[in-house]
Amino acid sequence: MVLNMLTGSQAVAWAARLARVDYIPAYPITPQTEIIEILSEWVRKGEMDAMFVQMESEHSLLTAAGTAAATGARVFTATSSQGLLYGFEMLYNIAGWRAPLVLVNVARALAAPITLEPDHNDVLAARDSGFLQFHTENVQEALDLVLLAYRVAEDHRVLLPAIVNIDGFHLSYTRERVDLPEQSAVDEFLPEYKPVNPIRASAPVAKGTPVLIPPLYSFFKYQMHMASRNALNVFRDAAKEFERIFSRTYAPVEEYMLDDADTVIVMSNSFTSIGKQAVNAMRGEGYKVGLLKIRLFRPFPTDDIIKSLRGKRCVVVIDQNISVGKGGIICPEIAEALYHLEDRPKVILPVIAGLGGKSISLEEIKHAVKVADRLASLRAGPDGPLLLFREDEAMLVESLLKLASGG
Amino acid sequence: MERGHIFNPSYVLVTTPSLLFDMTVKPLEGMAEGSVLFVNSPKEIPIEQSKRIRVIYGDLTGLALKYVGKDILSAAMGAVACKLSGLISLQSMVGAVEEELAELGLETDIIEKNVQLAKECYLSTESVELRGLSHKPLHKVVEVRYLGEKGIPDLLSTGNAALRKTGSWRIFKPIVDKNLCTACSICYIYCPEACISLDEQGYPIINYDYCKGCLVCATECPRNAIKAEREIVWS
Repeated sequence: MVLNMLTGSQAVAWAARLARVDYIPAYPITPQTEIIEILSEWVRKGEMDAMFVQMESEHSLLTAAGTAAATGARVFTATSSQGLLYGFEMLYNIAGWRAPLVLVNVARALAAPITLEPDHNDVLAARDSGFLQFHTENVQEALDLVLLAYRVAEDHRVLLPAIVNIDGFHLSYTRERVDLPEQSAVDEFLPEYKPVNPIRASAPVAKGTPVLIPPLYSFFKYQMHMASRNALNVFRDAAKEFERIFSRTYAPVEEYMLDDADTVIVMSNSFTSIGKQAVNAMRGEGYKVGLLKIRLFRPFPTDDIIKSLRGKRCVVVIDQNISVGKGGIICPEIAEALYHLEDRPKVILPVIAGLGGKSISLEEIKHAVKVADRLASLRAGPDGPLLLFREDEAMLVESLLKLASGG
Repeated sequence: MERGHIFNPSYVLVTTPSLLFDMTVKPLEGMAEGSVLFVNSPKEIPIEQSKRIRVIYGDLTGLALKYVGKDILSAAMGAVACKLSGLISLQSMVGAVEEELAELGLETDIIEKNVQLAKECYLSTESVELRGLSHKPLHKVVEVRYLGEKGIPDLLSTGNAALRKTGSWRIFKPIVDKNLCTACSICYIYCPEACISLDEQGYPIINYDYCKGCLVCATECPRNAIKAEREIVWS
């Protein structure tokens, strides 16, 4: 075992290198650029046997990535935020071609107003595209899930592309201790990609052909959906194999202090670490609270979520995103998963926090837990999503608004 | 594992002393009673303290100029942080500096100079144990009110960059020697911040409220009439 201090950017670049990818189309955007800088350096030095191509936009980047995957190349690429949205049209196309590749999204909130700090409106915009989605909490997980994503995406029961999300700054630029796998072990875990009907110059195949007969369109979409659902078990099997080789365990969700918890906080991505700290602190004060982390977001792990949350008194879903005019994106999915259970939680509280990288304090998490508890006691439901904000932040905003208005 | 914003830091290291007085940065905010503040400065600076904070000074810029020849401080500040907290050994710190600077593609002699600088900073700093830390009162959660048109991100007070006095960024201050200056106005043309104006005779006047100390003027002056003096005093 080799322990290294790696940034999230370095870790996912290492994952691409260890996966022996063939082709890397690239386009810079903060906070993603460090990944492609590292890969281009390795390719230039001959340390990586891959083709690195600097594209002229993210739309071209995704088109190149998908078409290369359709020829049977193992493809890695990465982008962020506005870049993902600029190439958005191609996400649905690549998934529709059933071309597996791995795209790392380095989360950054969307303009306007513009910022560089993370939330998940970028990656969750791709929710319905057909891409598998893996959300990561730490740098080790980022590296490991890129490897797992290749294995699941390329499995012939799945054949769908995958997004691995890492949070900008909090993971991309943060050094953490990482067990960097040996090449031989990765080779054992990740066999060569065997494409289905690859495009060859000598044997042309038409992919993504028009289907003007409506049932045909429906049929292919249903196929994609079923392939994505297959990915749940394919992921579980791959994770078992991963654990055998690397001694690290990954399930579609991660439970933290759930056993005797009556209130469960649901989170995803790097701020989950903050949620876990809050759980530790609140446990010390006698709160029976636990946390459920969503690791695999597409396909949605409904059964795992039911298993973890049924019979609990309150569920507090902290969405680090906002569907403007509704609330969080993940909360309704949790609610739907639990709706038909006799022993469903009394309260499912939607909470918005961490937009544009806003910090989340212990007091805010505690406040949300208390609100859920009060609602459960009153046998009442929430009026709408709880929009977390603090007094110190309100004062800062007030002074900045004054400056901006010239007052 | 801990992650995210540090609300109540036990140790705070300030690279640029002028930041102590910057209302948008507020480096002392959230510091707990009994915590430790390190300021990169050759002399003590009057800091208004409402709390019991231990303040330590060290002239890292001076050491960086001595060892590296430039005011590049990341290795130095990192070394001080390692030693202050007493958490990281000299060997680990040196290894980290070497590895990280090598990743940036720096040449061996530059890396070696940074290692020497970091070692000196490490060895000349004392570890400070934390005594009787007590944290600030808790944050209050508040409701965000709807503010109508005030909630639209429009900037009405445009052209307000002048409010930001960037003179505090200077490490070196350019000073014109009027005996050597020929009023050729080359510095006036080259100043990237338009901080140099000309007096009635055509001699340059530098606006130190905004001069960032980039020293383009001193570099371009054909008569070497602009000297660079290290900034020491801030307020």
